[in-house]
Amino acid sequence: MKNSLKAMMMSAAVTGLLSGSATPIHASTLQGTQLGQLSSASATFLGADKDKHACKGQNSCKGKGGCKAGDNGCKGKNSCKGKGGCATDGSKPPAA
Amino acid sequence: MSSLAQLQRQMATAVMRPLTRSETTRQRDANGRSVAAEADSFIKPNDRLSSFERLEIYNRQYWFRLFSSFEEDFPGLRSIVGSRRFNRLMRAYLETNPSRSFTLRNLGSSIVPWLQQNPQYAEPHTESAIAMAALEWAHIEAFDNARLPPLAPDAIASLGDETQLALQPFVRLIASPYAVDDALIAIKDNAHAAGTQASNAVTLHLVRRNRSRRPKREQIHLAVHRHEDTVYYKRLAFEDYQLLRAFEANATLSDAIDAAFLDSSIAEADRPAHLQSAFQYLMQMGWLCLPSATEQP
Repeated sequence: MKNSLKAMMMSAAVTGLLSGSATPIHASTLQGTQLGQLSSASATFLGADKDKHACKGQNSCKGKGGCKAGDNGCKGKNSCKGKGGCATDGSKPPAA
Repeated sequence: MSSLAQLQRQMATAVMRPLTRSETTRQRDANGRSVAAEADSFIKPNDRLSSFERLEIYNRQYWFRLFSSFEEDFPGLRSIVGSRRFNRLMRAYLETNPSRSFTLRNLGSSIVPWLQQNPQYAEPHTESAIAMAALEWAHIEAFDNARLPPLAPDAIASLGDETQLALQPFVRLIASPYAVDDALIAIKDNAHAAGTQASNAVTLHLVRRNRSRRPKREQIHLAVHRHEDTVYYKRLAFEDYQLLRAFEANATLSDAIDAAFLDSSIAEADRPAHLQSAFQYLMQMGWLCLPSATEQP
């Protein structure tokens, strides 16, 4: 790449970083946002298509680790149901 | 080894032993020994269940938990290969890639290379199945991979050609010959709608129809990323994808820019504006960081 073009590219990258640092994006503006709305540039980098929301409502365990550890893993497949066999010491459930 | 540790190991081996095709405990272990005799040696029977039957409860629960977790993580893969084939695929995968982590989050971590080595489990849709599995694993990673300190505004002034930059771990990149993003969103929307319908039904017995939703053939490049605790799929231009791939490999700023426009159809005159817009977005989203931030302490 020619030096002059290279210098222009570097300058463009740094200018983009500087302008981006002043205006962080929030979720409310992310969906359906096109880059043309965020930038005066006519370029379409990362903005040709809107972001697609992929898992709304499934984030209650985000950041807590082990998202699968606490839910009901044997729901509907409880092979010991009604046999009183789950207790490992052979004890019987208390009378109702 | 203490007798307790030995007992724990014996129990773990018995509980984690793969089930039969009809989802019951195997009568014989891999060495042909009787599992019932083994169970008798360390599990007490009670007045209702034999030692073998008591072991079977835990053996089955263990595998049912793995199956439900895997199914939950890969609904798109299931939709492409079909339920019956998916069950075979899942059992074969889990037998060769058993859970080795404290969290089931990592259960599907080897699915893509495994499918590449075992394409027969996804035939005749192997290519789209691998693409979908890659997206679904990327989704899991984007969901809870780390967010490192993003590139700070005051660090920009000191950037030079040879400065290395890195992509945040919560941004995962996908190149796929199929529109797997649209297909997966449709599958999840469908499942959500079915779930809502089921929860509203009091007495009606609903039979869920798992209609196949195979993705259209279309070359796409995606960033799968997390923003404010929600995962998004963002289509990228080829140049954007190349740029981010370079940052993923901790390229220098200069090398990343060169990589972005390799085989690009964008005219040279338009490239600076394209780049400016690109870097503005990357900064706004906090997708870039310094490689030192990605190093383990």
